[in-house]
This record gives sequence, structure tokens and C-alpha cells, in this order.
Amino acid sequence: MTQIHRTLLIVTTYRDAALQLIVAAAGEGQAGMLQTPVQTSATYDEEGNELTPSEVSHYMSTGNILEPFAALLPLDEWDGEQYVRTREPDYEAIIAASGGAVTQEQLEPILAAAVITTEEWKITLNNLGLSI
Amino acid sequence: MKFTEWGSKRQKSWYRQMRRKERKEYQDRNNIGWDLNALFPTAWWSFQPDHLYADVDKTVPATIGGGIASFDDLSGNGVTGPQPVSTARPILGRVPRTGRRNAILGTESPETWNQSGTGACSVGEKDPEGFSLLTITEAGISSVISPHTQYPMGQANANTGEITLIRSYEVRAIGNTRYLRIGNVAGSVVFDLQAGTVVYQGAQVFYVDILPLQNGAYRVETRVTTTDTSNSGLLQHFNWSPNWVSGTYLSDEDQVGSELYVRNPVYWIENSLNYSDPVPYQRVTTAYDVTEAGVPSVYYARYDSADDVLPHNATLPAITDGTVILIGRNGIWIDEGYSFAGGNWSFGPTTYANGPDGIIGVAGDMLDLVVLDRPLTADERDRVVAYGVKRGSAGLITIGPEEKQNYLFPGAPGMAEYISGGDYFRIERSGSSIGMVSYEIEPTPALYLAQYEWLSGAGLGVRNNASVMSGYEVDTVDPLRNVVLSIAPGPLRFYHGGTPTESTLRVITLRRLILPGETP
Repeated sequence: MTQIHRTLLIVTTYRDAALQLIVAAAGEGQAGMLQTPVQTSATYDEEGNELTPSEVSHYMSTGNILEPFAALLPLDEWDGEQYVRTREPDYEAIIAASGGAVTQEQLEPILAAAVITTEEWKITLNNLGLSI
Repeated sequence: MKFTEWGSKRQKSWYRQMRRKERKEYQDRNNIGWDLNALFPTAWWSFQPDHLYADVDKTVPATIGGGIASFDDLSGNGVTGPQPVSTARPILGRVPRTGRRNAILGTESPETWNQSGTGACSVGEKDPEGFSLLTITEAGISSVISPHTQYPMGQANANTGEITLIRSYEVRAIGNTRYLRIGNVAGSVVFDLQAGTVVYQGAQVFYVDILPLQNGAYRVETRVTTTDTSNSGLLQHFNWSPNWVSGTYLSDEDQVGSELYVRNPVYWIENSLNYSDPVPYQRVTTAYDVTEAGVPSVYYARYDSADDVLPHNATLPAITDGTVILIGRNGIWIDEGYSFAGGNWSFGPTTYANGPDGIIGVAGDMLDLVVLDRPLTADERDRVVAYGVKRGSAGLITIGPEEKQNYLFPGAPGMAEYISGGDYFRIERSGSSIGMVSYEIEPTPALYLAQYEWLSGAGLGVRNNASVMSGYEVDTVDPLRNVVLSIAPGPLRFYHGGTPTESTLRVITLRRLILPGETP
């Protein structure tokens, strides 16, 4: 089956819910997704004192996924300033794939806050000012 | 010696023995017939297509550009460690043994180009001169046509950090068509095809040329250097119109029906800016599939350094004074004196169990991975290197001399002192200013293998240059950090910027990693 590259960023607060959804839709074998924490950059004054600490804002998975699964997910593209959603998720299909484990009300905030791109992860993180 | 004597049984036997001896010496010298199983390894995973699978049950062979879910252990010990998570699998790729240099696509005809953007256009058949007719059928500022469905990929720059993309076409405007915009995210250019001039050049395009040909045609060429590793950075858009607004924009006024002839598109990628050394073009099918006629392909596994892990939780016995061998395209890493408590052993995303963080990226795309429960002999080490080079590696990664004896404290308002009795540094902040220990690193960028341990303190980290605040790497107090640091010219500083005002640091080793071809 055709594989396709995706970089998937899920906001930290939705990570557990997203993992449950992934396991429900793609099986227990995918429970190891979203293991890579992604951080915001700390800021410092001129003398090197930390002004704001870095924090884990997202969890990331990046690599090949099956094309039919990718087709259900939303897609975002960088327009030079921000990520713009160019394809909305197929909620019905995702809910069906999960066997009804989630509702659209539960799904919407997770995917609304997610960033899903076709880019290599370094590009996506660089665009967002994040790092691992 | 008489002929009859030479043909005696005894003489023949002696002759055969001598020939066998000579052949063995030749094979030994050239490593022929030798492979890593001669080491009797604990595990040997080789990234060759015959031994790689797309599923954890090892029923579906891995394909180029696809993830590697599991593999055979060629040691015969059956050590596996499949990766069930699809996004955490390294990708199988192939590249000419000579490496990736100039790459062009396999399909050069404009008839195969694709439409994209808000407008639309049609591609006609070729005329007798080989030109394809492109016609805009639906106006739009971004009415574009993007050559090819697959593009030369930025993955080529994994080693160099940047690549140069060169695109050249023969074009001829007809009717009222006058302006041609060629562009992508790495920069755009607008040509006036009636005057034969360049009317706009984006800052990112460092070279642009328009050469007159016969019958009103021109060869237009652009060169951009980019670090973009995505498809989009290499995708090239065409837009043409009777009118030009300004800058990079064409007008959609009177654009419907605008026609343009195009032929002989040539794309290539260079990994260096040296144009004077032409080398054979290579065919790019995808980012992971580059071939060159007459040159053997090298198959590899590319770890993305973010979340790829394979083997994943392979079961290995306890190892003391063992060896881990990574044969990568960039270099061969031999970790001697290796210890492992036994149990689950994983490889990735940036290192292996008890290995230096970042070493996978240094070694590059992986060709072979070996674990031994004993040291290598000098002869075996030489054979491993010869084998790795034969497989397509650049050579052995070596470790330079200890650097930490030259520690300094320049530019640090805080105080630091070396406590020789305890073999550690005491670093103290001065007011709100950070304290630091600093090593002067030679004035060229290089990779260093650092082992250090923060014994106490807070707000700890390593920075490479006082003026680059974003260079901070915040540490916590932990038993040991074993890491590859990429150091730019300037001091390497271990700093303390938090509360309490004092920290203690033990730097165990700081040595340069010397890649094949680098000067020690």
C-alpha cells in the first residue's frame, strides 16, 4: 500500500486524546506515535539570564504513513507567515475508522490545533520557531 | 626442470598450494570474500533490500522510499526488534556509489508537466522543432504550470547544508505574450521575452541569464542556492502574460489565451558551487531513489533524527568491553570498550543505547549496524573499514586528542576555577552575570565528542559563541551527557546562569570527531 510522508504536530494538552484516537483508528501498534517532545525557545537577556523558559508545546511524529490514512487528516501549508489549512479533515471517516471511539466534538479541537504538513520536520519546526 | 618432471604429481600439488596461498593473500589484501560475519557478531543488521521488510512480520519486502519495519539479523542469532510505529521507521533509499551530485529528472518533456495554482492552462503537442505549446485557459495571477510530478529533492543536501538548483529552458513567446515568470519559494525571475531582458530578479536567485536563440526563442536559466529540504523548495512554477505589474507579479489582464512555447527543460542539482567540474547526470525518481548509469547503487536506511528507531527494543545480552560498529555513508563509527547491561537495545533517533547523542547523524545514511560482545583486533578493524568503504562509506571516523586541557575563562563576568583534587570546575555567578568555563576551539567548524556531567547547579547549558544567544542548550543535572556537538569558530562554553549562584561541572572528555577526508 502506498506510503506518504507527513509531519504531525499535536498540542501537548491534546496528546493523550490524540494517541487514544490513533490507537483506536490504526491499532495498538501505533501507540508509540507522538513520543517526540517539541519545545518553544527560551528567551534570554543580554547577560544570558533566562527571561522565559522553553516549554514543551507539541508532540511530534514524522515519517511515512499509509496514504488512505493520510487522506483522512487535514493538511496545512506554510504561506510565508503562518500555516494555512488547505484541506479539512474527514471527520466522518476518522470517527468510523476509530470504531466510534471519539465524537466530532472531541475531535475538532484536537485537529484544529494540530499542524500537519508534507514537509520534513526541520522545516515545519523552523517555520514555527520550535525545536526538539 | 624437464617438462615431464614439472608435470609430476608432487609438482602439481606444490603448484596448486602456491596458487591457493597467492589467491588467499590477494583476497586478504583486498578484503574479497570477507564480510562482517567473520567477526562472529552478536547481531548484524545490513540495510540491503533482500533483508528488509515493510511489515513487522517480515512478509512484505521493503521498497525504496518506504519505511523499514523489520529486518533479518545476518549474524544468524535471530536478534530482531521490529518497529510497529509507521512514522518511526527509517526510509530505504538508494544512491549511486559515487554519491549524489548532479541530478536530473527522468521525464523532461513539458507534455508531462502538471497544472497547479488558481488559473489553468493546457499543454499542446510538440511542434516540429520540439517545442510544446502551453496556453493559459483561465486567468489568474497565480496561473501556473509546475514542471513534473516529482522533483529533484533537497534531501541531497543532508551532508552539505545547501544545494544549488539550476533550471534551464528554451522558450518562445507568441502572439501578445511578453512576460514569463519562473519561480518557486526559493526565489523568482521575470523575463521580457520580446526585449530579451530580465525585468525582475528575486534576491534569492543569485544567477539568471537569457540567451537569444533562433526564431525569437531564448534559453532562460536560473540558479538558486537553498537549504530547503522539501519538495516545494524545488518545485518550479511558470506563469506568462502580455502584461507585467511589478516585481514578481504578472497581470491577469488579457492573460487568457496567452501562449508560450517551451522545450528542452534541464534541471540539475549541485552539491557545491563549483560549476567547472561537470559530472554525469543522475536520474531522480524520488528523493530516495537516485541512480546513475553504469554506477552501482548503494542501498541505505535514512533515519530522520526525530523519531525513527530501528531496531526497536531488540533483546541483547549483557556486553562488557564490546564493540558497536555503524557503517554510514558519511563514515564508519567504531565504538570500542562498549558496555550494555543487557535487555532492550534500540537504535535511533540520534544514537543507540549508551552511545553518543547525535552519532547517527554524523555517520549518515546507514549501511550496516553491528554489535559485538568483544573488542576488535587491529586486523579486524582494518577489515571492517575496508568492508565499509567497499559498501559505499567514506571511511573511518576517528577521534582527535583531548582538548579540555586548554580551558580558559574569557569574557565571563562570573568566576570559575578548576578544583584539581576533585577533578571538577566550580562556577560562580557574579551578580546577575553568568559564570562559565570556556574552551578555545580551533577556528574552523568541526564536530566534537563531549562527555560532561553537571554535578550541581541550575540554568546550565552549553553555548558555542557568546554573541549567539540562540545557541543555548539547556541542561539539567544528570549523571552523564555523552553528545556530539557541532562547533562553529569561537569558544565552547559551559555556562551557569541560574539559581543557586554556584554550580559544579565535570568535563570528562572533549575530543574532535574527524570525518573521512578531514584534516586532523
